[in-house]
Amino acid sequence: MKWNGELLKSVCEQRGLSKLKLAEQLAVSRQTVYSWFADQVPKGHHLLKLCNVLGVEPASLFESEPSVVSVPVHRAKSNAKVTKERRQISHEVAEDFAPLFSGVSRAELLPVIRTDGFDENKVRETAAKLRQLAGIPEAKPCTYEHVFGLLSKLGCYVVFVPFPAEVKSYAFYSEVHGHRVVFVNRHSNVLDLVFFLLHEAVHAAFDEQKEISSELEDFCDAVAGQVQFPPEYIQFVKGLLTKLDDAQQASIIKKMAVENGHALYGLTKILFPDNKPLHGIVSKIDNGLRKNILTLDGLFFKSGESSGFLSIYRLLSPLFYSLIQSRADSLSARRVGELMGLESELDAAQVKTLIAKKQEP
Amino acid sequence: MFVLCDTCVLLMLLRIAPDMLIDSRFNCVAPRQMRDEIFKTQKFKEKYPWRVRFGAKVQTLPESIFETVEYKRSQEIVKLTASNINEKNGKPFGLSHADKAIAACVVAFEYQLSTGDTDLRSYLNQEFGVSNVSPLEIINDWLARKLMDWDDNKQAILEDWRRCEEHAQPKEQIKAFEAITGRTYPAY
Repeated sequence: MKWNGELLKSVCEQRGLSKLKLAEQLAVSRQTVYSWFADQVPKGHHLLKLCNVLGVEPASLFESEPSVVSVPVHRAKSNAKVTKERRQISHEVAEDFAPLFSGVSRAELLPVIRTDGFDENKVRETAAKLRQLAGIPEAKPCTYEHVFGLLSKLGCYVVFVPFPAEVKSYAFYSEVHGHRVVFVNRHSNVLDLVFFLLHEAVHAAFDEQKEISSELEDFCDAVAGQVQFPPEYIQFVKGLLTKLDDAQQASIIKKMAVENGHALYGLTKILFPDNKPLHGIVSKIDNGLRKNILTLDGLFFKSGESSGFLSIYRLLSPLFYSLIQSRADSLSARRVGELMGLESELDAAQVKTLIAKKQEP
Repeated sequence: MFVLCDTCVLLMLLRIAPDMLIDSRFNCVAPRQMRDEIFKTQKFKEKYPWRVRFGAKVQTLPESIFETVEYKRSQEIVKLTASNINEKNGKPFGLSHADKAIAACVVAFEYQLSTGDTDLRSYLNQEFGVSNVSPLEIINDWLARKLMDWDDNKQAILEDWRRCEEHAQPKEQIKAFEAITGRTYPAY
Protein backbone atom coordinates (compact mmCIF):
# COMPACT_ATOMS: atom_id res chain seq x y z
CA MET A 1 0.00 0.00 0.00
CA LYS A 2 1.29 3.44 -0.94
CA TRP A 3 0.31 6.77 0.59
CA ASN A 4 -1.61 8.97 -1.85
CA GLY A 5 -1.97 12.64 -0.92
CA GLU A 6 -4.66 13.08 -3.56
CA LEU A 7 -6.93 10.68 -1.68
CA LEU A 8 -6.60 12.75 1.50
CA LYS A 9 -7.23 15.94 -0.47
CA SER A 10 -10.37 14.46 -1.96
CA VAL A 11 -11.74 13.30 1.45
CA CYS A 12 -11.10 16.78 2.87
CA GLU A 13 -12.93 18.39 -0.06
CA GLN A 14 -15.89 16.04 0.38
CA ARG A 15 -16.12 17.09 4.02
CA GLY A 16 -15.62 20.77 3.25
CA LEU A 17 -12.45 20.86 5.34
CA SER A 18 -9.82 23.41 4.35
CA LYS A 19 -6.11 22.80 4.92
CA LEU A 20 -6.15 25.37 7.69
CA LYS A 21 -9.13 23.80 9.44
CA LEU A 22 -7.59 20.34 9.19
CA ALA A 23 -4.29 21.66 10.55
CA GLU A 24 -6.12 23.24 13.50
CA GLN A 25 -8.09 20.09 14.29
CA LEU A 26 -4.94 18.00 14.30
CA ALA A 27 -2.79 20.63 16.05
CA VAL A 28 -0.21 20.62 13.27
CA SER A 29 1.14 23.36 11.01
CA ARG A 30 -0.41 24.11 7.63
CA GLN A 31 2.95 23.19 6.13
CA THR A 32 2.57 19.68 7.53
CA VAL A 33 -0.85 19.29 5.89
CA TYR A 34 0.64 20.57 2.60
CA SER A 35 3.35 17.95 2.82
CA TRP A 36 0.74 15.18 3.24
CA PHE A 37 -1.14 16.42 0.19
CA ALA A 38 2.19 16.36 -1.64
CA ASP A 39 2.60 12.63 -0.90
CA GLN A 40 4.64 12.83 2.30
CA VAL A 41 3.45 9.89 4.46
CA PRO A 42 2.07 11.18 7.78
CA LYS A 43 3.63 9.94 11.00
CA GLY A 44 1.69 7.11 12.66
CA HIS A 45 0.15 9.28 15.39
CA HIS A 46 -0.97 11.85 12.80
CA LEU A 47 -2.51 9.13 10.68
CA LEU A 48 -4.44 7.87 13.69
CA LYS A 49 -5.77 11.38 14.38
CA LEU A 50 -6.52 11.97 10.68
CA CYS A 51 -8.67 8.84 10.54
CA ASN A 52 -10.52 9.82 13.72
CA VAL A 53 -11.17 13.38 12.52
CA LEU A 54 -12.19 12.37 9.00
CA GLY A 55 -14.03 9.20 10.06
CA VAL A 56 -12.25 7.04 7.50
CA GLU A 57 -10.40 3.73 7.57
CA PRO A 58 -6.60 4.17 7.38
CA ALA A 59 -6.30 2.02 4.25
CA SER A 60 -8.67 4.32 2.35
CA LEU A 61 -5.92 6.96 2.25
CA PHE A 62 -3.46 4.55 0.63
CA GLU A 63 -3.50 3.05 -2.83
CA SER A 64 -2.83 -0.57 -3.72
CA GLU A 65 0.38 -1.42 -5.51
CA PRO A 66 0.81 -4.23 -8.03
CA SER A 67 2.15 -7.42 -6.47
CA VAL A 68 5.87 -7.96 -6.84
CA VAL A 69 5.45 -11.69 -6.25
CA SER A 70 4.50 -14.22 -8.88
CA VAL A 71 4.26 -17.99 -9.25
CA PRO A 72 2.86 -19.23 -5.95
CA VAL A 73 2.64 -22.92 -5.10
CA HIS A 74 1.84 -25.01 -8.15
CA ARG A 75 2.66 -28.49 -6.96
CA ALA A 76 1.35 -30.08 -3.77
CA LYS A 77 2.39 -33.21 -1.88
CA SER A 78 1.36 -36.62 -3.28
CA ASN A 79 -2.44 -36.64 -3.57
CA ALA A 80 -3.14 -33.07 -2.43
CA LYS A 81 -4.52 -30.79 -5.12
CA VAL A 82 -3.35 -27.27 -5.85
CA THR A 83 -6.30 -25.15 -4.80
CA LYS A 84 -6.94 -21.42 -4.97
CA GLU A 85 -6.61 -21.24 -1.19
CA ARG A 86 -3.25 -23.02 -1.24
CA ARG A 87 -1.97 -20.63 -3.90
CA GLN A 88 -3.21 -17.65 -1.92
CA ILE A 89 -1.56 -18.75 1.32
CA SER A 90 1.75 -19.51 -0.37
CA HIS A 91 1.52 -16.15 -2.13
CA GLU A 92 1.17 -14.50 1.28
CA VAL A 93 4.23 -16.40 2.54
CA ALA A 94 6.23 -15.01 -0.38
CA GLU A 95 4.76 -11.49 -0.04
CA ASP A 96 6.04 -11.31 3.53
CA PHE A 97 9.60 -11.54 2.21
CA ALA A 98 9.12 -9.05 -0.64
CA PRO A 99 10.36 -5.90 1.18
CA LEU A 100 13.67 -7.63 1.81
CA PHE A 101 14.26 -7.98 -1.95
CA SER A 102 13.20 -4.44 -2.81
CA GLY A 103 16.05 -2.52 -4.45
CA VAL A 104 18.35 -5.56 -4.66
CA SER A 105 19.92 -5.64 -8.09
CA ARG A 106 19.61 -8.86 -10.02
CA ALA A 107 22.70 -10.75 -11.14
CA GLU A 108 23.39 -9.87 -14.76
CA LEU A 109 24.07 -13.40 -15.92
CA LEU A 110 22.08 -16.35 -14.68
CA PRO A 111 21.90 -19.78 -16.29
CA VAL A 112 18.69 -20.13 -18.29
CA ILE A 113 17.19 -23.21 -19.94
CA ARG A 114 15.49 -22.82 -23.29
CA THR A 115 13.87 -25.71 -25.07
CA ASP A 116 11.81 -25.96 -28.23
CA GLY A 117 9.90 -28.99 -27.00
CA PHE A 118 9.17 -31.26 -24.09
CA ASP A 119 10.02 -34.65 -25.60
CA GLU A 120 12.26 -37.37 -24.18
CA ASN A 121 15.39 -35.98 -25.89
CA LYS A 122 14.80 -32.53 -24.40
CA VAL A 123 14.33 -34.11 -20.97
CA ARG A 124 17.67 -35.90 -21.32
CA GLU A 125 19.48 -32.79 -22.60
CA THR A 126 18.09 -30.56 -19.86
CA ALA A 127 18.82 -33.10 -17.12
CA ALA A 128 22.40 -33.50 -18.37
CA LYS A 129 22.93 -29.71 -18.31
CA LEU A 130 21.59 -29.42 -14.77
CA ARG A 131 23.62 -32.38 -13.52
CA GLN A 132 26.74 -30.82 -14.98
CA LEU A 133 25.92 -27.46 -13.37
CA ALA A 134 25.35 -29.15 -10.01
CA GLY A 135 28.65 -31.05 -10.30
CA ILE A 136 27.05 -34.45 -9.67
CA PRO A 137 29.48 -37.33 -10.31
CA GLU A 138 28.58 -39.43 -13.34
CA ALA A 139 26.07 -42.25 -12.76
CA LYS A 140 25.50 -41.13 -9.17
CA PRO A 141 22.18 -39.93 -7.72
CA CYS A 142 21.75 -36.28 -6.75
CA THR A 143 22.01 -35.65 -3.00
CA TYR A 144 20.45 -32.80 -1.05
CA GLU A 145 23.84 -31.07 -0.91
CA HIS A 146 24.00 -31.18 -4.73
CA VAL A 147 20.52 -29.76 -5.13
CA PHE A 148 21.16 -26.82 -2.80
CA GLY A 149 24.41 -26.19 -4.68
CA LEU A 150 22.47 -26.26 -7.95
CA LEU A 151 19.88 -23.76 -6.68
CA SER A 152 22.68 -21.43 -5.69
CA LYS A 153 24.31 -21.71 -9.13
CA LEU A 154 20.94 -20.91 -10.69
CA GLY A 155 20.93 -17.68 -8.66
CA CYS A 156 18.07 -18.85 -6.41
CA TYR A 157 17.60 -17.40 -2.97
CA VAL A 158 16.54 -20.37 -0.86
CA VAL A 159 14.29 -19.37 2.02
CA PHE A 160 13.56 -21.86 4.79
CA VAL A 161 10.23 -21.25 6.44
CA PRO A 162 7.72 -23.37 8.29
CA PHE A 163 4.85 -23.61 5.79
CA PRO A 164 1.31 -23.18 7.06
CA ALA A 165 -0.31 -26.64 7.18
CA GLU A 166 -2.76 -25.68 4.41
CA VAL A 167 0.02 -25.26 1.83
CA LYS A 168 0.77 -29.01 1.69
CA SER A 169 3.97 -28.64 -0.29
CA TYR A 170 7.67 -29.26 0.27
CA ALA A 171 8.82 -26.25 -1.70
CA PHE A 172 7.65 -23.71 -4.22
CA TYR A 173 9.39 -21.47 -6.68
CA SER A 174 8.53 -17.78 -6.81
CA GLU A 175 9.72 -14.62 -8.46
CA VAL A 176 10.04 -11.80 -5.95
CA HIS A 177 10.99 -8.36 -7.33
CA GLY A 178 12.33 -10.29 -10.34
CA HIS A 179 14.59 -12.52 -8.22
CA ARG A 180 14.48 -16.29 -8.29
CA VAL A 181 13.36 -17.44 -4.86
CA VAL A 182 12.65 -20.98 -3.72
CA PHE A 183 10.69 -21.31 -0.48
CA VAL A 184 11.34 -24.57 1.35
CA ASN A 185 9.24 -26.03 4.13
CA ARG A 186 11.45 -26.15 7.21
CA HIS A 187 9.69 -29.17 8.62
CA SER A 188 10.58 -31.38 5.62
CA ASN A 189 12.79 -34.40 5.96
CA VAL A 190 15.88 -34.02 3.76
CA LEU A 191 15.20 -37.52 2.40
CA ASP A 192 12.00 -36.29 0.76
CA LEU A 193 13.28 -32.98 -0.52
CA VAL A 194 15.61 -33.75 -3.39
CA PHE A 195 13.07 -34.51 -6.11
CA PHE A 196 10.81 -31.60 -5.18
CA LEU A 197 13.69 -29.13 -5.02
CA LEU A 198 14.93 -30.34 -8.39
CA HIS A 199 11.44 -29.80 -9.80
CA GLU A 200 11.54 -26.19 -8.54
CA ALA A 201 15.09 -25.79 -9.85
CA VAL A 202 13.87 -26.61 -13.36
CA HIS A 203 11.16 -23.97 -13.01
CA ALA A 204 13.76 -21.46 -11.86
CA ALA A 205 16.02 -22.24 -14.81
CA PHE A 206 13.12 -21.53 -17.16
CA ASP A 207 12.70 -18.01 -15.78
CA GLU A 208 9.15 -18.98 -15.11
CA GLN A 209 6.00 -17.78 -16.78
CA LYS A 210 3.12 -16.75 -14.56
CA GLU A 211 0.87 -19.52 -15.85
CA ILE A 212 2.22 -23.04 -15.66
CA SER A 213 0.91 -25.62 -18.13
CA SER A 214 0.48 -29.28 -17.21
CA GLU A 215 2.88 -30.05 -20.07
CA LEU A 216 5.58 -27.96 -18.37
CA GLU A 217 4.83 -29.57 -15.00
CA ASP A 218 5.29 -33.02 -16.52
CA PHE A 219 8.51 -31.87 -18.17
CA CYS A 220 9.84 -30.52 -14.85
CA ASP A 221 8.98 -33.82 -13.17
CA ALA A 222 10.71 -35.82 -15.89
CA VAL A 223 13.83 -33.66 -15.78
CA ALA A 224 13.91 -33.70 -11.96
CA GLY A 225 13.61 -37.49 -12.05
CA GLN A 226 16.56 -37.83 -14.43
CA VAL A 227 18.71 -35.37 -12.53
CA GLN A 228 18.09 -37.32 -9.34
CA PHE A 229 18.46 -40.79 -10.84
CA PRO A 230 20.46 -40.84 -14.10
CA PRO A 231 19.74 -43.74 -16.51
CA GLU A 232 23.17 -45.27 -15.75
CA TYR A 233 22.31 -45.52 -12.05
CA ILE A 234 18.91 -47.02 -12.81
CA GLN A 235 20.52 -49.63 -15.08
CA PHE A 236 23.14 -50.43 -12.47
CA VAL A 237 20.56 -51.01 -9.72
CA LYS A 238 18.34 -52.95 -12.09
CA GLY A 239 21.25 -55.28 -12.77
CA LEU A 240 21.56 -56.03 -9.07
CA LEU A 241 17.90 -56.99 -8.75
CA THR A 242 17.42 -59.65 -11.40
CA LYS A 243 15.90 -62.96 -10.28
CA LEU A 244 15.31 -61.73 -6.70
CA ASP A 245 12.02 -61.77 -4.80
CA ASP A 246 10.37 -58.58 -3.50
CA ALA A 247 11.95 -58.76 -0.04
CA GLN A 248 15.43 -59.30 -1.46
CA GLN A 249 14.93 -56.49 -3.98
CA ALA A 250 13.78 -54.15 -1.20
CA SER A 251 16.86 -55.05 0.79
CA ILE A 252 19.22 -54.20 -2.11
CA ILE A 253 17.36 -50.97 -2.90
CA LYS A 254 17.64 -49.99 0.76
CA LYS A 255 21.40 -50.57 0.69
CA MET A 256 21.73 -48.34 -2.40
CA ALA A 257 19.45 -45.70 -0.90
CA VAL A 258 21.43 -45.48 2.33
CA GLU A 259 24.74 -45.37 0.46
CA ASN A 260 23.56 -42.64 -1.89
CA GLY A 261 21.30 -40.57 0.35
CA HIS A 262 17.90 -41.00 -1.29
CA ALA A 263 14.53 -42.51 -0.43
CA LEU A 264 13.61 -45.96 -1.74
CA TYR A 265 10.16 -45.18 -3.07
CA GLY A 266 11.08 -42.85 -5.96
CA LEU A 267 13.69 -45.22 -7.31
CA THR A 268 11.43 -48.26 -6.91
CA LYS A 269 8.66 -46.55 -8.84
CA ILE A 270 11.04 -45.96 -11.73
CA LEU A 271 12.35 -49.53 -11.62
CA PHE A 272 9.03 -51.34 -11.07
CA PRO A 273 6.18 -48.92 -11.83
CA ASP A 274 3.49 -51.60 -11.47
CA ASN A 275 4.74 -53.68 -8.53
CA LYS A 276 2.37 -52.35 -5.83
CA PRO A 277 3.39 -54.90 -3.13
CA LEU A 278 7.02 -53.82 -3.51
CA HIS A 279 5.95 -50.14 -3.32
CA GLY A 280 4.27 -50.96 0.01
CA ILE A 281 7.40 -52.67 1.38
CA VAL A 282 9.75 -49.82 0.43
CA SER A 283 7.35 -47.17 1.78
CA LYS A 284 7.58 -48.82 5.19
CA ILE A 285 11.39 -48.92 4.94
CA ASP A 286 11.38 -45.23 4.00
CA ASN A 287 9.36 -44.44 7.12
CA GLY A 288 11.99 -46.20 9.17
CA LEU A 289 14.82 -44.32 7.43
CA ARG A 290 13.10 -40.97 8.04
CA LYS A 291 13.35 -41.56 11.78
CA ASN A 292 17.14 -41.64 11.51
CA ILE A 293 17.49 -38.85 8.99
CA LEU A 294 17.13 -35.25 10.03
CA THR A 295 14.47 -32.81 9.02
CA LEU A 296 15.77 -29.42 7.93
CA ASP A 297 14.87 -28.12 11.39
CA GLY A 298 16.90 -30.91 12.94
CA LEU A 299 19.82 -30.06 10.69
CA PHE A 300 19.70 -26.34 11.53
CA PHE A 301 19.32 -26.73 15.28
CA LYS A 302 21.52 -29.81 15.69
CA SER A 303 24.36 -27.87 17.34
CA GLY A 304 22.04 -25.80 19.56
CA GLU A 305 24.36 -22.86 18.85
CA SER A 306 23.76 -19.72 16.81
CA SER A 307 27.11 -20.11 15.05
CA GLY A 308 26.31 -23.72 14.07
CA PHE A 309 22.91 -22.64 12.78
CA LEU A 310 24.48 -19.91 10.65
CA SER A 311 27.12 -22.27 9.24
CA ILE A 312 24.45 -24.64 7.95
CA TYR A 313 22.34 -21.76 6.67
CA ARG A 314 25.24 -20.28 4.76
CA LEU A 315 26.10 -23.65 3.27
CA LEU A 316 22.59 -24.43 2.05
CA SER A 317 21.49 -20.93 1.11
CA PRO A 318 24.48 -18.65 0.50
CA LEU A 319 22.54 -16.02 -1.46
CA PHE A 320 19.78 -15.53 1.08
CA TYR A 321 22.35 -15.57 3.89
CA SER A 322 24.26 -12.74 2.20
CA LEU A 323 21.04 -10.81 1.65
CA ILE A 324 20.12 -10.97 5.35
CA GLN A 325 23.68 -10.05 6.20
CA SER A 326 23.58 -6.96 3.99
CA ARG A 327 20.25 -5.86 5.52
CA ALA A 328 20.82 -6.90 9.14
CA ASP A 329 21.47 -3.37 10.38
CA SER A 330 17.99 -2.25 9.37
CA LEU A 331 16.10 -5.30 10.63
CA SER A 332 14.91 -5.82 14.18
CA ALA A 333 16.29 -8.90 15.93
CA ARG A 334 12.87 -10.54 15.89
CA ARG A 335 12.55 -9.85 12.15
CA VAL A 336 15.91 -11.55 11.54
CA GLY A 337 14.60 -14.47 13.61
CA GLU A 338 11.41 -14.57 11.57
CA LEU A 339 13.16 -14.36 8.20
CA MET A 340 15.56 -17.14 9.15
CA GLY A 341 12.84 -19.22 10.81
CA LEU A 342 14.37 -19.33 14.30
CA GLU A 343 11.01 -19.96 15.97
CA SER A 344 12.42 -19.14 19.44
CA GLU A 345 14.87 -22.05 19.24
CA LEU A 346 17.81 -19.66 19.25
CA ASP A 347 18.25 -16.14 20.55
CA ALA A 348 17.40 -13.88 17.60
CA ALA A 349 19.45 -10.99 19.04
CA GLN A 350 22.54 -13.20 19.17
CA VAL A 351 21.96 -14.47 15.62
CA LYS A 352 21.55 -10.90 14.38
CA THR A 353 24.76 -9.81 16.11
CA LEU A 354 26.72 -12.70 14.63
CA ILE A 355 25.41 -12.25 11.10
CA ALA A 356 25.88 -8.48 11.19
CA LYS A 357 29.55 -8.89 12.15
CA LYS A 358 30.06 -10.12 8.59
CA GLN A 359 32.40 -12.81 9.78
CA GLU A 360 32.20 -16.28 8.39
CA PRO A 361 30.39 -18.48 10.94
CA MET B 1 1.18 0.00 32.03
CA PHE B 2 4.66 -1.20 31.11
CA VAL B 3 4.87 -3.71 28.26
CA LEU B 4 8.05 -5.74 28.66
CA CYS B 5 9.51 -6.81 25.34
CA ASP B 6 13.04 -7.76 26.23
CA THR B 7 13.63 -11.30 27.42
CA CYS B 8 16.65 -10.52 29.62
CA VAL B 9 14.90 -7.54 31.23
CA LEU B 10 11.80 -9.60 31.90
CA LEU B 11 13.80 -12.37 33.54
CA MET B 12 15.78 -9.97 35.71
CA LEU B 13 12.67 -8.13 36.86
CA LEU B 14 10.89 -11.41 37.61
CA ARG B 15 13.62 -12.28 40.08
CA ILE B 16 13.08 -8.97 41.84
CA ALA B 17 9.28 -9.04 41.76
CA PRO B 18 8.06 -12.56 40.91
CA ASP B 19 4.41 -11.45 40.97
CA MET B 20 4.86 -8.51 38.62
CA LEU B 21 2.85 -10.12 35.80
CA ILE B 22 0.05 -11.49 37.97
CA ASP B 23 -0.38 -8.62 40.44
CA SER B 24 -1.93 -5.65 38.62
CA ARG B 25 -0.37 -3.16 41.07
CA PHE B 26 2.98 -3.71 39.35
CA ASN B 27 1.54 -2.38 36.08
CA CYS B 28 3.41 -4.86 33.89
CA VAL B 29 2.37 -6.98 30.94
CA ALA B 30 4.32 -9.23 28.58
CA PRO B 31 3.47 -10.37 25.05
CA ARG B 32 3.08 -14.09 24.36
CA GLN B 33 6.30 -14.17 22.34
CA MET B 34 8.25 -13.40 25.53
CA ARG B 35 7.05 -16.62 27.09
CA ASP B 36 8.07 -18.62 24.01
CA GLU B 37 11.50 -17.01 23.96
CA ILE B 38 12.11 -17.56 27.68
CA PHE B 39 11.14 -21.20 27.77
CA LYS B 40 12.13 -22.43 24.30
CA THR B 41 15.37 -20.64 23.45
CA GLN B 42 18.46 -22.77 24.01
CA LYS B 43 20.59 -19.82 25.15
CA PHE B 44 18.19 -18.91 27.93
CA LYS B 45 17.94 -22.53 29.06
CA GLU B 46 21.67 -22.48 29.67
CA LYS B 47 22.15 -18.88 30.77
CA TYR B 48 19.16 -18.68 33.12
CA PRO B 49 18.47 -22.24 34.36
CA TRP B 50 16.50 -20.79 37.30
CA ARG B 51 13.89 -19.37 34.91
CA VAL B 52 11.76 -22.55 35.26
CA ARG B 53 10.85 -21.44 38.80
CA PHE B 54 8.82 -18.64 37.25
CA GLY B 55 6.83 -20.77 34.80
CA ALA B 56 3.47 -20.09 36.44
CA LYS B 57 4.33 -16.43 37.01
CA VAL B 58 4.86 -15.58 33.36
CA GLN B 59 1.36 -14.66 32.30
CA THR B 60 1.03 -12.96 28.97
CA LEU B 61 -1.40 -10.55 27.33
CA PRO B 62 -4.80 -12.20 26.87
CA GLU B 63 -5.71 -13.06 23.28
CA SER B 64 -8.98 -11.12 23.69
CA ILE B 65 -7.21 -7.77 23.48
CA PHE B 66 -6.21 -8.56 19.90
CA GLU B 67 -9.88 -8.65 19.00
CA THR B 68 -10.69 -5.18 20.30
CA VAL B 69 -11.59 -2.30 17.99
CA GLU B 70 -8.75 -0.17 19.43
CA TYR B 71 -6.19 -2.87 18.72
CA LYS B 72 -7.45 -3.51 15.20
CA ARG B 73 -7.36 0.18 14.28
CA SER B 74 -3.82 0.51 15.65
CA GLN B 75 -2.77 -2.68 13.94
CA GLU B 76 -3.85 -1.26 10.60
CA ILE B 77 -2.00 2.00 11.19
CA VAL B 78 1.13 0.08 12.21
CA LYS B 79 0.84 -2.13 9.13
CA LEU B 80 0.68 0.95 6.90
CA THR B 81 3.56 2.80 8.56
CA ALA B 82 5.88 -0.09 9.43
CA SER B 83 7.72 0.25 6.13
CA ASN B 84 8.28 4.01 6.51
CA ILE B 85 11.84 5.23 6.39
CA ASN B 86 13.75 5.20 9.66
CA GLU B 87 15.02 8.78 9.88
CA LYS B 88 18.05 7.58 11.85
CA ASN B 89 19.51 5.40 9.11
CA GLY B 90 17.52 6.28 5.98
CA LYS B 91 16.31 2.69 5.54
CA PRO B 92 12.80 1.26 5.89
CA PHE B 93 12.00 -0.13 9.33
CA GLY B 94 12.42 -3.92 9.39
CA LEU B 95 9.94 -5.05 12.01
CA SER B 96 8.74 -8.59 12.62
CA HIS B 97 5.10 -9.62 12.97
CA ALA B 98 5.64 -9.85 16.72
CA ASP B 99 7.16 -6.33 16.79
CA LYS B 100 4.16 -4.99 14.88
CA ALA B 101 1.73 -6.66 17.27
CA ILE B 102 3.59 -5.19 20.24
CA ALA B 103 3.66 -1.75 18.60
CA ALA B 104 -0.10 -1.93 17.94
CA CYS B 105 -0.72 -2.78 21.63
CA VAL B 106 1.45 0.12 22.76
CA VAL B 107 -0.45 2.51 20.47
CA ALA B 108 -3.93 1.12 21.18
CA PHE B 109 -3.72 0.97 24.96
CA GLU B 110 -1.09 3.68 25.56
CA TYR B 111 1.30 1.21 27.13
CA GLN B 112 4.86 2.22 27.92
CA LEU B 113 7.43 0.16 26.08
CA SER B 114 10.51 -1.45 27.58
CA THR B 115 12.72 -3.12 25.00
CA GLY B 116 16.36 -3.37 24.09
CA ASP B 117 15.57 -3.58 20.39
CA THR B 118 16.66 -0.38 18.72
CA ASP B 119 14.45 -0.79 15.62
CA LEU B 120 11.24 -1.19 17.59
CA ARG B 121 12.24 1.68 19.85
CA SER B 122 13.07 3.94 16.90
CA TYR B 123 9.83 3.07 15.10
CA LEU B 124 7.57 3.80 18.07
CA ASN B 125 9.48 6.93 18.92
CA GLN B 126 9.50 8.31 15.38
CA GLU B 127 5.94 7.40 14.41
CA PHE B 128 4.10 7.74 17.72
CA GLY B 129 6.43 9.73 20.00
CA VAL B 130 6.61 6.77 22.42
CA SER B 131 9.75 6.70 24.56
CA ASN B 132 11.42 3.60 25.88
CA VAL B 133 11.34 2.83 29.60
CA SER B 134 14.43 1.33 31.21
CA PRO B 135 14.04 -1.57 33.64
CA LEU B 136 15.56 0.52 36.43
CA GLU B 137 12.85 3.12 35.86
CA ILE B 138 10.28 0.38 36.40
CA ILE B 139 11.97 -0.68 39.65
CA ASN B 140 12.08 2.94 40.78
CA ASP B 141 8.36 3.21 40.08
CA TRP B 142 7.64 0.14 42.24
CA LEU B 143 9.85 1.46 45.01
CA ALA B 144 8.28 4.93 44.88
CA ARG B 145 4.85 3.35 45.17
CA LYS B 146 6.14 1.18 48.06
CA LEU B 147 5.20 -2.08 46.36
CA MET B 148 8.31 -3.71 47.83
CA ASP B 149 11.22 -3.16 50.16
CA TRP B 150 14.73 -3.10 48.84
CA ASP B 151 16.98 -5.60 50.59
CA ASP B 152 20.36 -7.32 50.17
CA ASN B 153 18.85 -10.12 48.06
CA LYS B 154 17.39 -7.67 45.57
CA GLN B 155 20.61 -5.68 45.53
CA ALA B 156 22.47 -8.90 44.71
CA ILE B 157 20.12 -9.53 41.77
CA LEU B 158 20.88 -6.06 40.48
CA GLU B 159 24.58 -6.84 40.73
CA ASP B 160 23.89 -9.90 38.61
CA TRP B 161 22.69 -7.65 35.77
CA ARG B 162 26.24 -6.82 34.83
CA ARG B 163 27.26 -10.48 34.85
CA CYS B 164 24.35 -11.17 32.51
CA GLU B 165 25.49 -8.38 30.17
CA GLU B 166 22.36 -6.30 30.76
CA HIS B 167 22.45 -2.84 29.17
CA ALA B 168 23.71 0.08 31.26
CA GLN B 169 20.84 2.05 32.85
CA PRO B 170 20.17 5.79 32.35
CA LYS B 171 22.06 8.07 34.71
CA GLU B 172 18.97 9.88 35.98
CA GLN B 173 17.38 6.57 36.92
CA ILE B 174 20.54 5.49 38.74
CA LYS B 175 20.41 8.74 40.71
CA ALA B 176 16.75 8.22 41.52
CA PHE B 177 17.44 4.63 42.60
CA GLU B 178 20.22 5.71 44.95
CA ALA B 179 18.04 8.45 46.41
CA ILE B 180 15.14 6.06 47.07
CA THR B 181 17.11 3.10 48.43
CA GLY B 182 20.09 4.85 49.98
CA ARG B 183 22.28 2.21 48.31
CA THR B 184 24.91 2.53 45.65
CA TYR B 185 23.90 1.29 42.22
CA PRO B 186 26.34 -1.46 41.10
CA ALA B 187 28.95 0.19 38.88
CA TYR B 188 29.28 -0.69 35.20
